[in-house]
Amino acid sequence: MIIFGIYAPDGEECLSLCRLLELWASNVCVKMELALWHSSEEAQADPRAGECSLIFFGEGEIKGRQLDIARELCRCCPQGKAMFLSSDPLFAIECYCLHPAGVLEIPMRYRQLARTMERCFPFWREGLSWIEVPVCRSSVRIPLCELEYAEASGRHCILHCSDGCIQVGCSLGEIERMLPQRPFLRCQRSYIVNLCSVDRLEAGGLVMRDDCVISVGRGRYKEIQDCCAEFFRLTRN
Amino acid sequence: MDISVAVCDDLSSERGYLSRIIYSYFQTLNRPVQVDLFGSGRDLLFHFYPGKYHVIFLDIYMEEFSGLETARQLRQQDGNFSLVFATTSADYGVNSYEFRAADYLLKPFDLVDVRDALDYCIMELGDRLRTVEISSRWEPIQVPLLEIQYIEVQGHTVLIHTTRDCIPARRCLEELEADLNSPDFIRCHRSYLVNLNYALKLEEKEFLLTDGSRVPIGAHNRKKAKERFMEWSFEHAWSRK
Repeated sequence: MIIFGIYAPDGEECLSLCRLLELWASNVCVKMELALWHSSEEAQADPRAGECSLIFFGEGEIKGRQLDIARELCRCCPQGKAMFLSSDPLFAIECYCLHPAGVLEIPMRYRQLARTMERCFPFWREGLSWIEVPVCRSSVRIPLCELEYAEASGRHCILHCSDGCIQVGCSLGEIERMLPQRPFLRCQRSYIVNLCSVDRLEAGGLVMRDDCVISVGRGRYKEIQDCCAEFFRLTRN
Repeated sequence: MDISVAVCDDLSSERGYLSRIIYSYFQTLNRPVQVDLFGSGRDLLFHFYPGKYHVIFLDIYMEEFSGLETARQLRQQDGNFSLVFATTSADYGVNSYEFRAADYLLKPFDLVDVRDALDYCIMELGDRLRTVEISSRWEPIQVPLLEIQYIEVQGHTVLIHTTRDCIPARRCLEELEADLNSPDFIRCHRSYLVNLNYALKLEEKEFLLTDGSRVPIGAHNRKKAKERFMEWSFEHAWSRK
């Protein structure tokens, strides 16, 4: 479990960031806890502050003091890195004195957050969820965020990951039970897909990032269509 | 170990000025440095290969290839060098973080600005600059960790296989392993230490290295080597994104 701190005196900005981070954590299958602070006293009094791996600093109404507050809080979190929210390029340049993990532009968009968080992988890798699957006479652990789709193959199944395929010695049903409901979706009897790896939905089925087309069961087409529409609406902005 | 720095700016006066500050900085540290100057992003990209530079100073407004496009292409090849933007415009302050820049210097900058940037770059480079002292043949030498592919025991001697040479040393492998103290090295066999940066593939009983060498994996170390290699590969794939 990883802990992210959010220092954002502006309530709306704080809420918006929380929603985006929760969506991101669910899509990347990361176990995350958010610590919300509205003042530096609140942050310093929170015992979780020392365990935060990333601390997000909102712009709020204290723009001029943002760096001073960040400096103070980062001293309480020696293993945490700062991440600032700002659209001001001069402020972004000033931030380099603290060597933050990044600067997120306001208004925040999911795509931008996802790209930024990819670069910050070392700060959240401890929160990754994994599955352990039987392979040959051994077992292999795979991080859920790397699993693009699973395909039934007789009594076994093939896991298609971002860097290759692996045949595992268990059924698709067993794999389904190990996976969280979202972002994974059983689109038909022989396939489970990770919505993050879906490029688009066409009449023929789900077109994956690797150009593979996975047909969708007729009875479930409407449901899959609604799921994809909602997912794309939230993540492709 | 020499630090290698590249300065890319389309104005020769700016290149000269910055290179003088860089040389002066390293002189105060009493550390050798090699500074290469480039007048365009295209020129830098032509001469660049992964691992060539520790630090790159990049102007943004240049003809043909902007500094940002140059940075994008450099990062696609190598995620490990420290990047410092050195430019007249503040416009790209927010975007600069996309390239994992270490600093953003606004012109005109002075010795203090460049020094602070270089202090951070040296600190960030950390392990990449580390060396291990080996007493070999007649005198002690410093061997950069980055250059060590694997180490093997042969009788009472260890052989350190680097990208350039094979260095014999009278040391025990346990001691060397403790001195290296790096997550990139794993003890895959009682007589072998391998640098995962050079491991191309894990086969059933051995590592295949990038130069075709094969390093055996001991029966008791097989499971741990497999897990460690998968974890390491996964982390390194992410760090290149």
